[in-house]
Amino acid sequence: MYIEAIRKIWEMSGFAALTWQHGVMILIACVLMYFAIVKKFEPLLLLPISFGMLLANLPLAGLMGAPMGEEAGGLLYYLYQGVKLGIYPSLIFMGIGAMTDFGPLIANPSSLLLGAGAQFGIIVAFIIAVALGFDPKAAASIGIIGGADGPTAIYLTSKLSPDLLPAIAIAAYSYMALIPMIQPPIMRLLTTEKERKIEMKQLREVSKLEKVCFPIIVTILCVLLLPSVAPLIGMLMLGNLFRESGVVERLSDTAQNALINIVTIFLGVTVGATSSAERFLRLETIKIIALGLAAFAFSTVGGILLGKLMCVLTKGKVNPLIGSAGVSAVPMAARVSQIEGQKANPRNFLLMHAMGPNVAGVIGSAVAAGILLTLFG
Amino acid sequence: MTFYESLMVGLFCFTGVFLVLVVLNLLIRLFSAVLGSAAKKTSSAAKPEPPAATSQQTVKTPETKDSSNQVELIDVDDATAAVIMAIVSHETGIPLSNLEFKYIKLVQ
Repeated sequence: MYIEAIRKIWEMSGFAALTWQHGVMILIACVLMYFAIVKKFEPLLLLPISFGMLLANLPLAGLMGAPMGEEAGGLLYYLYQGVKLGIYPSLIFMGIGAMTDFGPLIANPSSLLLGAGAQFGIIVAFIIAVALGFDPKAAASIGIIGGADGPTAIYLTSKLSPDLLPAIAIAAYSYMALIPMIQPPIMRLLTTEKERKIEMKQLREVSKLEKVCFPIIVTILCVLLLPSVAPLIGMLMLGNLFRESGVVERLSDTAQNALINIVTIFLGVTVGATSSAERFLRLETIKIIALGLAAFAFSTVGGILLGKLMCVLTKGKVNPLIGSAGVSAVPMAARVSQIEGQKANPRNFLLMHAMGPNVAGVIGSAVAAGILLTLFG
Repeated sequence: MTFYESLMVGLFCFTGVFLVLVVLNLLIRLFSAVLGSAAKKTSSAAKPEPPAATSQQTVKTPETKDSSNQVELIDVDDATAAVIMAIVSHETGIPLSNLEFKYIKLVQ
């Protein structure tokens, strides 16, 4: 009788339902947790994503199970609705807006062009993805990795190709953490020593009135031109207005601290939990990871080449290195420009100049996502 | 979708991003110019010239929770002091609001 009971317990347990695919996914989840905790690769997102992946691949837990009849769905199923409905990425953008100083961009609006140039990788990855057999919606979702913007990538992918969400999210956040390794060789390859040494003039002071008007003007222009971009740009600029208005300190503080942290947890865990073995262990995942790297590389190329063009047009006043900061991984890409600039010329302080294209890239990648959503949504 | 079609879509998307950001660029320049000229008209005539690098002056650091934080500058101008404080913050990885500078002195 006892043996029968033990046998029944065993048969009902997750151990009996465990397959080798689950084992592989659990291993991958543990490797990603290692990268997040030990190597500190974007731990704020990679840790919850990897743990969500672990939870999703422990059989019979049913955390992502949809409701059936009178039986309620799993915990993560309900939390995932925030991703599915595009709520979490938009709220994260509000927090990002509340943390971002657009002063360097307002002081030098030409930075917007560098932010545009660095979206080149989106296009290249899209074209290659189509050539590799992905349908246009999937190709657009893969291409947006080149925008180096996690919330934008998750937002677009959840609308166009939710099946690819785990692979794209993991690729996007992993490569963002690897920017200090991916970008410098490309930057050195495409620029001369003389160009890297260019010192840029100090940026003008930006008034508070300009900083307050900026989010309002950007919202009006972008949302009228591209209504599909309203959730991302609208929330980004709302957060920024909280910050710059100076009259809602509590809201600004909440947006950039408590709110973004709560949403990050829900977003990360639920995105990770979509990476079931059937979805993740496919040839497409390897293609996505390779295409993601290509997208990042070509975005850097696009930004640098446009930076070189601006250098020529301004007769040497713009250091092309700041072009790579148009890849919107704020502020990491700007720091890389600063470090490479100082390697060539220790008196060179490019950080604030690079912040302009860096934050412009956030707007640029959101606009690119809006266009792709309009075309394929 | 054929390769040619994907190329056209890609170019369309890239051009679209560029156009939106070019228009934004022009709008920002326009409103900066308008706000700048409006500010000039309303400001009082002959703003006093800022003093040349004084041998000793105090500068208030960016607003922190402790708002009485002031830095003493000895033979250093404001711009240089700001750069030094920013570099220290960047190199140490500590936000500026968590740093307290007592004084910055030029050592010759």
